[in-house]
Amino acid sequence: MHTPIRKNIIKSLVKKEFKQVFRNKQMIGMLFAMPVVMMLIFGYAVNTDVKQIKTAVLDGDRTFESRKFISKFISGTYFIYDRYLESEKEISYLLDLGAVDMVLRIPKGFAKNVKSGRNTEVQIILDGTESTRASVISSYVTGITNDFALEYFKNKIQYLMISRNTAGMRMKEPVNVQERVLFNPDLKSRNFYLPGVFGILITLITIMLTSMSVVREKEIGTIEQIIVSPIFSLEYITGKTVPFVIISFFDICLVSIINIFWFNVPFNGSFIFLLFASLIFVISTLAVGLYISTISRTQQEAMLTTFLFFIPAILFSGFVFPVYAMPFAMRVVACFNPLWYYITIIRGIFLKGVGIKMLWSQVFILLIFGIVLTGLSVRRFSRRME
Amino acid sequence: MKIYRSLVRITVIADKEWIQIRRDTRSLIFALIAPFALILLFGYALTMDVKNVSMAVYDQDRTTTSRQFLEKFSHTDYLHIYDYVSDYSEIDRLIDKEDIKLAVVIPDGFEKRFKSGKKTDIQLLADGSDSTSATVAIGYVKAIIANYNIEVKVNELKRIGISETKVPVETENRIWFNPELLSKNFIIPGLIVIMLSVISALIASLTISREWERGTMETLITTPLRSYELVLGKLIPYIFIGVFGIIIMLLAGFFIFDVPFKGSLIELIILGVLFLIGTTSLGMMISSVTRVQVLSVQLSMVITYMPAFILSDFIFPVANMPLIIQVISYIVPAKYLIIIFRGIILKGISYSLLWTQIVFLAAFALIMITISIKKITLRLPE
Amino acid sequence: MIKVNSITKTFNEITAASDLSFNIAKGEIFGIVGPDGAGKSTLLRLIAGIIIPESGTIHIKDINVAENPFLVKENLAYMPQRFGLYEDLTVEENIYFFGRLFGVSRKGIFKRMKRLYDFSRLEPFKDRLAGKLSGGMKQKLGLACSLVHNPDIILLDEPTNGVDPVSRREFWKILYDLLTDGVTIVISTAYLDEAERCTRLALMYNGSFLRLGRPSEIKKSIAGSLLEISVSDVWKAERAIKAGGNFGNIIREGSALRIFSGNPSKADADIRRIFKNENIETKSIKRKVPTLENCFLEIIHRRNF
Repeated sequence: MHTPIRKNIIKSLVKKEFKQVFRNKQMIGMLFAMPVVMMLIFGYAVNTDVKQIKTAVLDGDRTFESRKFISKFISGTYFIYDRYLESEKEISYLLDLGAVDMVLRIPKGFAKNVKSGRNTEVQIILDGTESTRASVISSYVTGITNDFALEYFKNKIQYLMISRNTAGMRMKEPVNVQERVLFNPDLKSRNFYLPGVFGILITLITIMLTSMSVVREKEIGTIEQIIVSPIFSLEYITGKTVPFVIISFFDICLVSIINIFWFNVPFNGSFIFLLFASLIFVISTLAVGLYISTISRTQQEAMLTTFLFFIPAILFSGFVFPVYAMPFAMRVVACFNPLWYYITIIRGIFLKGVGIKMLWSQVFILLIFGIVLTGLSVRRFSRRME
Repeated sequence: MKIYRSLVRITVIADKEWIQIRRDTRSLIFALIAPFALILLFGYALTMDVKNVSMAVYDQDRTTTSRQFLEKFSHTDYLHIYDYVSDYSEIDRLIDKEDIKLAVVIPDGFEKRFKSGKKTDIQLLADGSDSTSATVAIGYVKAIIANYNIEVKVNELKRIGISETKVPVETENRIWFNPELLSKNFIIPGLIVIMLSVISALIASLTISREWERGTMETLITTPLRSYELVLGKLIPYIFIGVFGIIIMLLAGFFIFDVPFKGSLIELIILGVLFLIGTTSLGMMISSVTRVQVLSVQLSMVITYMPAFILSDFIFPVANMPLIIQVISYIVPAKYLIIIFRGIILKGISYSLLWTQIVFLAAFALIMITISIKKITLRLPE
Repeated sequence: MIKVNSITKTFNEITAASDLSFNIAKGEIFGIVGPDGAGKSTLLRLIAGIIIPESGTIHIKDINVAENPFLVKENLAYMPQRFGLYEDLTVEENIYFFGRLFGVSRKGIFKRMKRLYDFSRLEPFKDRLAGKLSGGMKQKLGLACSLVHNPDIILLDEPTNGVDPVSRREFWKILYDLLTDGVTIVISTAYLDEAERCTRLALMYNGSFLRLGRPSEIKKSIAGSLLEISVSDVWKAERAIKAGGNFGNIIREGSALRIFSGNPSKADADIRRIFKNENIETKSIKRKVPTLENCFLEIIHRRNF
C-alpha cells in the first residue's frame, strides 16, 4: 500500500484542526489552562522534604546534661520541639494519634552515667508509618548522636592527656567528610519531582487529545465523510497530529517557564535539546493516542482506556518510585515505558545539564518506540478506514 | 407495605446496576482487576526504600589505613560498592549515567596525615537529584564514618590505658508501627483509599449521566421510582465493589506482602463504606448536574480523584504545602480515611482515637447523600 | 379519565402548549398529530407529569398530576420517543426490571410475560441484549415493558417512527387488542394514515390544537372538496393558478395539482378559463375525497394565510 502525501491536503486538514481546537472553549482550557494549573498544583504538592519533625521529649533525668543533649536536637533546623511529656502513657497516645513524629526519651541517671563513663541508652521512638520520612529522621538522629559521642571522646581524651601529662603524644583528628551534593545542592525534593510532573503532563495532554479528537469525529460522524473523501489515512493522521505537536511544543515551553521561573528548578542543559527530545517522545504518545482511538467507540471509552495506559506508565516511570530499586522483572517492564526514558532525559537536562552525549541511548530508544508505535497505529487506523 | 415496595425498588435498581457493571468490561477492569494489579505492583515493584545504594570509591592513597577505612563500607546492606575508579572523570560519568548515587574520594596522603594526627578530609560526592534517597544515603555514609571515628577514639583511649571505655550515649531507635521502615506498609493502606476514590470518581460518576445520555432516564422518571430510591439503589453495587476491593487488597497485602493488620477489620470496612457513601454520592451529584458522561468524568477527576491523590498525605505530605493548600486539604475526605486506614491497619487503634475523622466522614456522607437526592429531579430538563 | 384544563408551557419563548383544554375518555385511542416541533412530545410529557406546566392543570382519574405525581405514575405507562430501555440488558431483564419497579410481584411478572411475548413475538429473543434488536422489535419491547404492570393509561410518543410498514401494522394490532382490556391510549404520530385509526384526534400545530374530534369529523370540518387537476405543464399551470385568483393552497403531486375549494363547480370552471387564456392543455379535473393528510395540510395553510 503506497499512499502519497499531498502537502496542500495536509495543510487544509491542519488548518481545519486548528480552527476546531480554537473554537472549542473546553479544548482551549484543556490545552492551555490545564497544564498551567496542574503544574502549579503539583509544583506545590510534590514536596517530600523532611523538615519540621515534631518532637516530643520525655526527660526522665532533668539535669543540665540531659537538657544539653536535647538541645542538640531541637536547636537544629530539622526538629521542632512540640511538647514535654510527663509519663510514658502519653507516648503511645501521641503516636497513635499521629500528633508527633518522634519521641525522645532520656532515662533517669543520664547525667550520672555520662559523667562516670557508663553507657546510656537514649530511646528514640519514631512513627514508622511514613517509611521514607522515618528513615530520613532516623538518619538525622544517628548523625546527631554520633557527633555527641565524638565530642565526648575528644573532651575525654583531652582531659586525660592533660591530667596524665602526656601532652607530647599527639591526638588523632577524626576523619572529616567534605560533602558535595551535585545537581540539587539544597536537596530539595521538588527539584527531583517537577521534571517528572513535566513529563507526565506532556504525556497526558498528547495522548488524551489525539484519542479524544479522533473519537469525537467518530461520534459525530464526520470521520465517515473523511473516509469517503479522497484523503488517504496517512494524510489524515498527519493532519490530525501536526497541530498537536505544535500545541504540545507550546505547552512544553509554558511548563518549562513555570518550572524554571516560578519554582526555581535549576535548568542546566540545552533548551534546544529538550525540544528535540520532546519531539521524539511526542511521536510515541501521539501514536498511542491514535491507537487508543481505534479501539474506542466513544470519548468515554477513550478516556478510560487512556487511564488504563497512563497509570502503569506513571508508576514505571521513576517519577516517584525509583526504577533501579525494582526487581529485575519489573525493570524489564519499565524498559518498555517511553515515559521512563523521557523523564530520565528531562531530569538529565534540567538538573544535570547533560546533553546528547550522555542521553543518546534514551533518545535512540524513544526514536525506535516512536517509529514502531506509529507504524502499528497507522496500520490499524488505515485498516479501520478502508 | 409502602416501605416494602420502596425496598423492592431499591434492590431492583441495585440489581440492574450490577448487571450493567458486569457487562461493561472497562468498568470491571477498573473496579476489580485494577486494585489487585496495583497491590501486586506496589508490593513487588514499587518501593521507595533506600537500600543497596550504589557507590563508587576513588582511593588516591592506596594504603592500609585507607583500605581499612573503606572496608567499613562493604559491610552494610544499605550501600554497595559498584566500582573502584581511578579518575574523577570516571565518577562524573558514572553519576551522569545514574549507575551510582554516591562516590567517596580518599585523598592522597590520607594515611600520613591521619597517623600524624593532622586533620584528614575525605570527599563525598552525592547525586542530589532524588533528594530523599540522597539524604538517607548520605546519612548512611556519615554514620559509617562516625563509627569509624569513634572506634579510633576508643582505641586511642585504650592506648592511654583506659580499656573499658564505652560510647556515652547510644540511641535505641524504636520504630513503631513499621519497624523495618518498609514503604509498602506505608503505601498499601493509602492505596486502598485511592482505589476507593477511583471507583467513586471514574465509575460511579457516570451512572446518572449515562441514564440521561442513553434516554433511559426519561423512562425511569415515569415509573413510581423516588429519587432517594434511585440514589440508594445505585450506591449499593459500588459499595459492594468497594468493600470487595478493600478485602482483596488487604488479603493480598497481608498474605503476600506481610503488611501487618493490627486493628479491627469490621471497623475498617464500616468506615470505608462511610467514605464510599460520601464520595459516590458526590460522583452521582456531579453526574446528575452535568448529564453528560465525558464532563462528569472530567469533573469528578478534578473534584474527587486528584485531591484524593495529592492532598491526602498519600505520598506527598500536606504539611509541606503552602498554607492555602493545607486549608483546602481539610475538606478532602480521602485525607481522613487515610489517617483512619493507616491507624487501624498499622497502629491498631480503634474508633476512640479516630472520632474527629469519623465525624467528618459521617457529616460528609450525610451532606452528600442529601444533596445528591435533592439534585436528582424526576423531571425533564428544560 | 384524563382532564386537561387550559394548560400552557413555553421553552425559551417557543410555545409548546398554549392554553390547551380537552378530555380523554376511558377506552379511547386519542391521537395527537402534527409536524415535528408542534408540541406533541411536550403534551405527552405534561400528561405523564415529567414536565411541569406554567399554568393550567391536568387531572387523571380526578388526581392532580402535578400535585400527586406518584399516585398517577402507578397506573400509567409512558414510552418516550427515543428508545428508553437499557441496551445492555436483555429483553427479559428489561421487562422484569420495569415490572418490579412498578411493584409487580415476581410471579405476576412471569405470568404477564407470557402474554407480552405472545403479542410481541419477542420470546425467541428474550436473552438477546435490547441494544441488538431491530428498530421494530425495540419498539415492541418498549411497549411490552410499559404494559407489564397493567396500566390504565398508556402514553406513546411516536412509537412507530422509523419502523417498517409491516411492524407498524402489527404494532397497531396490539394497540387495538389492548383497547378490549379497557385501556386508554394516548399516542402521538407524524403519520396521518395512522391517525385515521384513532378514535379521536387532535391536530396540533405550534402548541395549539387546530382541530379536535373524530377523524371523520375533522375531514368534514373542511368545507369544500378536493380538485385534482391534471395538466401537461405543471409548473406553468401552477403559476397561472396562483396569478389567476384566490384558490388557497396549491399542492403539487407528480404531474397533477390539488386544490381545496368551497365551491368546486365554480372553481372547475374558473380554472378551465384561466388555462385557456394561458394556452395550457387541461387533461382532466376530478373531484376527490380528501384524505386526512390533505385536510391537515389545508388546515395549516388556512391558518397561516
